[in-house]
Amino acid sequence: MNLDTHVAELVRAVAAFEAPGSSLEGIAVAGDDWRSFLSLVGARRLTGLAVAGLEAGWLALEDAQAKELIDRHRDAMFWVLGLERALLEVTEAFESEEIDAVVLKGSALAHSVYPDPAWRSYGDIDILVRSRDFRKAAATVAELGFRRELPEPRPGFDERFGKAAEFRREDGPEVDLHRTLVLGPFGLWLEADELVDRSTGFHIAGRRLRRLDDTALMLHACLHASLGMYPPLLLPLRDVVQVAGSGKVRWKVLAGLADRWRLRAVVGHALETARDTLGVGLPPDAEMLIERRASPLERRLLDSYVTDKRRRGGLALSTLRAIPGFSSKAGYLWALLYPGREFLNARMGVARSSYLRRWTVPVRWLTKKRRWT
Amino acid sequence: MKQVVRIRRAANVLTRVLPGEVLVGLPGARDISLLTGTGSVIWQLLEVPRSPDEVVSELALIYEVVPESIAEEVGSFLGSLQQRGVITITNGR
Repeated sequence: MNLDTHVAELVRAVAAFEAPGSSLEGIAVAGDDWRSFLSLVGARRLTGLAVAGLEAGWLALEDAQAKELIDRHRDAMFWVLGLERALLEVTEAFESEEIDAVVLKGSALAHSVYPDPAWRSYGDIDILVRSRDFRKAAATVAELGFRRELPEPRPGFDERFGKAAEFRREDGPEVDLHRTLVLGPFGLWLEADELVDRSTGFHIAGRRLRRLDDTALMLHACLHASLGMYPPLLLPLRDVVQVAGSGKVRWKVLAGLADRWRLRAVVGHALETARDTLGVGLPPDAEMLIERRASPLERRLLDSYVTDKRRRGGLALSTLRAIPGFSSKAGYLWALLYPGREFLNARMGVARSSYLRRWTVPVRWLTKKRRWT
Repeated sequence: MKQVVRIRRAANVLTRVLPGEVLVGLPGARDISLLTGTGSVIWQLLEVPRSPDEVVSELALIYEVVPESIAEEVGSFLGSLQQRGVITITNGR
């Protein structure tokens, strides 16, 4: 999506509606722009912010437009309530299996940092568990009728190198079971089990669940905004601004975690991108984190996520670089180049799956690399 | 001493408030209900526990009608919410 179009500017404004540090004036959507506006607001899960803007008189719409927006938001909220129901089911099962589980992203943010949970839509459930519990948690989720979307490439890959496994159930909800917060080197460096220890409570439907504490929540919002998708999406950027403006982040602790886990470049990049994209002001402590200089290695690795290198296998290569020890590197490479047939079929479709096709990306990458050098 | 009936939202209810309407569901149930118009106003009134009479009189004030004209309808709506398990009605002193 090209964010330089007029409609994209309007949607960007919606993403910043009543964000801490924002002083945007109200907007109206012209008839010609309406279809693309509604479609983009829906696709970016921003209907909650748009409806809040509508109710506040900040977003001026004709009656028919307002009705369409509310219809779209209602659909999103039906989906979200279905997810919350599934979340309660899964976390209850984890509790009886004595698995420590921390709710991440959508539901945790919606119920903790936004003025009204209806402002924050989300599409799936994300739960972090300790590495040692990962297999047991996966089995528990499967017992509830969820099926894993993509098998692990090789046995043991999940615990050693994986970020998360996706599970889906026939009635719709998707559960992403996380072992760490992000793919690649940064996900391998951070100590996710420590994040499980740094959790706090929040409530859904009268039940107390665990989420990351406010400082870890800030860290994760930064990781997700910068590294989750390229180019960064508006809602994760809004999350960064929302958590940063909550007044509850312990910035010195955050700086310490970022130093220890080599996330200085990522945190700075996320805060800067969120501030500049949404045109908001950040707390002075957050500005100071933007100013801090990261090591060349961190910056180079960040590039493998936030530039076109990501699409050319840069992430896999930077992961390889970050894995310590020859045998672990070999194990990772082997799993990626020669994954199990089940993984290959799920990834490429039974008819198209072949190892030769699988190797196209690294081969193309190597040829290009050779041409550059 | 006179018994006072109190209506409160169920503690385990899942909700989202939209302009003029509310989505309400329960963790174990399959359906999610959409309360619109007066239904959503009644739901908002139940943010604090109230007696049926209080709900009727508040609603009568909002819609500028006499309480007697809506009492029966409100009672049957509250009954349906109770049946769905999203509110509880308790007797206290």
